Amino acid sequence: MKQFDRANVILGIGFAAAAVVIALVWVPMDSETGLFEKVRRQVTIGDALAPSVAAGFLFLAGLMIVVFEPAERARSLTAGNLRYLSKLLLIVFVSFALMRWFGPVLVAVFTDGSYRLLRDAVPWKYAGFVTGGAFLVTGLIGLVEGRITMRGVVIGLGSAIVFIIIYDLPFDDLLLPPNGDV
Amino acid sequence: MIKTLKTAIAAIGLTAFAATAQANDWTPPGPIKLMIAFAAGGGADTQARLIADDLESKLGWQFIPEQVTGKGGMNLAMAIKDQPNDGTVIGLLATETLGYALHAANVNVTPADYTAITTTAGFQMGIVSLSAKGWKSFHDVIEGAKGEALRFGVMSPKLADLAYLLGKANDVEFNIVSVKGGKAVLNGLNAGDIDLGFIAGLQTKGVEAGDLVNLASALSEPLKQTPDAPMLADLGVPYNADGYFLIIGPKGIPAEARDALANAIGEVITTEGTKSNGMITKAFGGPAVIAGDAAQALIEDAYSSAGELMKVASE
Repeated sequence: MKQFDRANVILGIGFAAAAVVIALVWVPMDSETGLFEKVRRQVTIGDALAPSVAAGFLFLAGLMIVVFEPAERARSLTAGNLRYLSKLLLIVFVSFALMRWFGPVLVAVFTDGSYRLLRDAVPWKYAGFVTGGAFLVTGLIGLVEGRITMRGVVIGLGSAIVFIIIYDLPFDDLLLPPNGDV
Repeated sequence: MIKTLKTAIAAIGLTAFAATAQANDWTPPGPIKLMIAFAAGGGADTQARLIADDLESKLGWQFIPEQVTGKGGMNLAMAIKDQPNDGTVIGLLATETLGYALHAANVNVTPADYTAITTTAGFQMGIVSLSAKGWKSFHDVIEGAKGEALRFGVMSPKLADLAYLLGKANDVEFNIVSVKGGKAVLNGLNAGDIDLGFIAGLQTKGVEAGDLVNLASALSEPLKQTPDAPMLADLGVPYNADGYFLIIGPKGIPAEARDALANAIGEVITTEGTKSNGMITKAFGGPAVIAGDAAQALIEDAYSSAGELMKVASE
């Protein structure tokens, strides 16, 4: 099997690159003020300061992983590792997509209304949370066990339902994902 | 200018009243998201949630309250601007947000990007200190400030400007301390971290009990609780911190929906016996309803007059 013997180099460079993207692309796009803000004679901490400092630490940590990890202690990276990681990311991605879009698709198919107006109405409000949540838990169990079982499906569905019982039923004003953002 | 504005507001208010019958036909097409620009559990938040509660019981409308706090209401202002404008997304903030804060933020957004629905209550904004300080009125503060720089708690950049101008007009220097909200000013006073500060209603109980004193009214009119306290104009500052809690929506809410919301909210907060009326009366001295076009005129005026204060305070 193909493998790369210095996984720390990939990991470190990956983190350092992510830090650069965060500091130079994400932070400027997502914050309204600079590192410091001068409001009416007073200098205050700007929106961008905390995430920029965090990106700085991330960059340093990335470099430390590359430079200070002794070669003999470094782990290797195999094609199997990457396959596992891809599956994990795929499960998370599909789960989130189901959670966000399954409800709106159901509403579009079965009603003339918009999902936003039905986001607090049964059964629509549970559609995305149950399918997405169950897929996530079942998928992760399946990934670890290497197979999809009925037991995994039941646990997945059951955990989504338990979350609904804990976080939705007792509270009138709380919305489960994705309903607060639609 | 203020008198003309008030007459105009009254005239527009009457016109808006005529639209009431039509507005009564409107019902929200779904749950209403109620964004709240104030921290959960505070007076403003409680007010918003009780209004929602009253409307739910009275009309069967459904509200989903959501905290969108930060930056003196600007986070809410920026978030609500692009939400659907069918009357299903509204927000509670202070008029100052769409006046001074929006002006200062310089984000290419103006009050025209919002639909003002109605005010709910006015601020009883006073300059407050502990009674233990021994000051009876702001004039005593000026005497006290000649010996040392007093620490003056403020909760917004506009109030910082007013505090600065107060010092300048009276030839004293204040050490202006910015904190988050009237509760923080009150805590600061109690802890001895600040000497005096602006508080917009939270001081009522303490003043009643004799622990706090309203040294001055920061409004263009006397405080209801302490009518003898001098106003900013008496202290050489021709600006004020007049302000209201205001319910807004994104730009372009149909007049029918806007008026129905305004009427419904106005009715519950002015009806004796409702939860919101009880709370607003206790905490803010009673409801103050300025709705529709009159409310829009209020925020547009607050926005345009903010520029002048900023200029003067920068000198």
